[in-house]
Amino acid sequence: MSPPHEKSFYDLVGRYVHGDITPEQANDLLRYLDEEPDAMAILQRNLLLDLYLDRIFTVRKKDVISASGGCGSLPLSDFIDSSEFDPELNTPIVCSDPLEFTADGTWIRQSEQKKRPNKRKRILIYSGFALSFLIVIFFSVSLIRMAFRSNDPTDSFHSVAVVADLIDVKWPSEENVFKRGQELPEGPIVFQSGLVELLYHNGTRIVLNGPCEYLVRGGKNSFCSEGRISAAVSPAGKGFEIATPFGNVVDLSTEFFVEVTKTECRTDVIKGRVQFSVPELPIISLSLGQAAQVDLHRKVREIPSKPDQYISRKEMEKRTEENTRKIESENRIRYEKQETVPGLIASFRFDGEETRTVLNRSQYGKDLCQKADLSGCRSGDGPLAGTRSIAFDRDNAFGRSRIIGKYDSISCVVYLRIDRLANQGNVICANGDFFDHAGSILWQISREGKLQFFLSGDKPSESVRFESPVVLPRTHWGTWIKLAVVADRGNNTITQYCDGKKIFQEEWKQTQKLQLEDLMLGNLTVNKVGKNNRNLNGAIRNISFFDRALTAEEIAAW
Amino acid sequence: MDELNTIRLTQDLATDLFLQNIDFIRSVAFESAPSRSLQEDIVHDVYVCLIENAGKWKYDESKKLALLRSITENMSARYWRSYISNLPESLRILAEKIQAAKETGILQADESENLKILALKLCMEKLSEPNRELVEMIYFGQKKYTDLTQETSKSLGALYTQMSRIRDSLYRCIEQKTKSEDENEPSA
Repeated sequence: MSPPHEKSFYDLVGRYVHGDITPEQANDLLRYLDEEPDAMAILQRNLLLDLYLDRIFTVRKKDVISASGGCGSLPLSDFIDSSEFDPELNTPIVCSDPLEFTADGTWIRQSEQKKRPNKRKRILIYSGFALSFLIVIFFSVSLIRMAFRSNDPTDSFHSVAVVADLIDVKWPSEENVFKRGQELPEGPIVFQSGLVELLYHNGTRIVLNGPCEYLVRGGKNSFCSEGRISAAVSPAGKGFEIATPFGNVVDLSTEFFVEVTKTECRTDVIKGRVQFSVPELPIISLSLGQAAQVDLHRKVREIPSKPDQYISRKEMEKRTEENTRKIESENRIRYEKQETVPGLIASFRFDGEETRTVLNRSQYGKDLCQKADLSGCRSGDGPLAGTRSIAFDRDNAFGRSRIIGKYDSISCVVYLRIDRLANQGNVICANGDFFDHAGSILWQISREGKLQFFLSGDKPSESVRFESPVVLPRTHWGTWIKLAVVADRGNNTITQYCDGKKIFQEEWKQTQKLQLEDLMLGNLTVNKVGKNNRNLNGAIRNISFFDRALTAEEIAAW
Repeated sequence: MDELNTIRLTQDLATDLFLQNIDFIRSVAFESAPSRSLQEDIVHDVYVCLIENAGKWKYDESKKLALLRSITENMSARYWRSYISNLPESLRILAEKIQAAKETGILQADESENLKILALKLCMEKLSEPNRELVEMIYFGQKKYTDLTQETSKSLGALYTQMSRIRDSLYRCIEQKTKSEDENEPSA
């Protein structure tokens, strides 16, 4: 065994610290630990520094430990009256001095105040400061996370929950979009309307009803500044806490509803018990059928419970089903409308609902949908719930079709998603014999994210390239986008569009007629798999060809 | 002071105690369950436990850290058992071995956590520009190693190796700084 300063040892240490280690690599690391005396110390130093670095880069409490006394471990019974010792630390303690609801509409623990009025007052002030500080910390963390949150959905190591369902969600911007099935690390979820269901890894289910601003903090911690939350906490998630600007709701194994607005916060207990703590006021324990509300003046009131606001799992399933039916209906209307557009010569669609899309054929619906044979492609998720697409994520994935005829002008519109630009050319569509026949086309996206449209001439050296500026930077990866190219013989121009906006136009001097014979979709070099790969590394929802130049308005409306 | 030593731990006092000693609680949690992903949940459960049981405990200022250590160790043990039971065998053995290796004293929680954090901030300034940038990209920018391979044109293994060496050098720097500060303190 080599000494622990060897590169591979540090590589394994790094992998372990960041949770990216395989069982085989763990065995290698174990061998180092067994045979090298310093290996364990290096590993532990790395683990500790990982914790420290994470700590100093997170906005958090900076008070130092001003402790006195020993740090040795002592049995809990040293601190507990023997008559009251409860070995089950998590057993809920029944409050022996319950709160009373007074005539003026506030909660008060009078007996304790009467017993020790001065100390009580002092402790309340301390507690108020402490809880206010906690709220400031929550806000700070929320802002920092919002600014630096990673959009990479593959970070499953620190994932605490998964997006279980989405219904009619309206996101504030493309950067804040979450997808069904996406793993959630700590961070904010902000949306304007609709329903988002989260499933925590400890089994807790949360349904967020928009408009909502919700911050995921660990498996049992969250913060909500606005929104309606239905929570069904699993036994493993006991103690789940929803902090709000008005107070904190802590679960004691239950189902509950929380509504936070700009002016007040209410909580309804659907099942079990919750603790409702408001700064500077005693903690309130609510049980089945009870509801409480706190306003900006920290006045707590008992209010009638409204259990119908709570969205159960069953209710969520019902709404999902209704939403899917609605989307199906909208899709059908859109298809029928599309087929009335004049000049459409081929439309390959892969975006039907899951049950109707045929994996190996694009053909369904009306006669205008020509046939495209697909090879090596996989069925992927479409841009709308319940819809599908065809993924060209393998080197040898391609679609092939024949569109007979030669054309003066053509237009092509595609709705696609780029997952990564791994190849020098990432083909959208091309003639398989591009290099052999004049008038062949090759439309692709370069590694840098530029749209490139090639037209072949009589000789290979006479091929011309029309290249747009960068339109698909890394930040646009993973999002659905509509691209179009128009070869207009009338105006002698080549124009390219991105999401309906003209991004490029250049003069077109060639005179050959255009042809779409032996048309390849999503790839070009199928016979040279592994060499000069040109597969799309993304997915196509639909792609359509026209025998005329579409106007900008027609492209925008398509 | 005598009066404080004899009172019961109320929920308000428990909150105060928790907030004042949250760094210590985190360190004990990491000592008992050395996995960063468990920290927040353990710390949260310590808080819930303090609140739920506050009325039953006597508050002794001189033994407050021992109380927090006992509760945190109790919580950590529960989380640790659950955590390692879900790991593949080789990873479980590795995790248990790291947790059991107390003789190094590296993960031992003590009252000087704040000094170490302070020293770390000073040590960060001594890192070379590329190394500091890498640390900031990973811990502040929360960038993924896979993304960084493209940005830095380095392999994944090279990045993990570089980051491990940086952490190791930072630890040595912290040791030196905390040691030299001890030595500089005037003797009684």
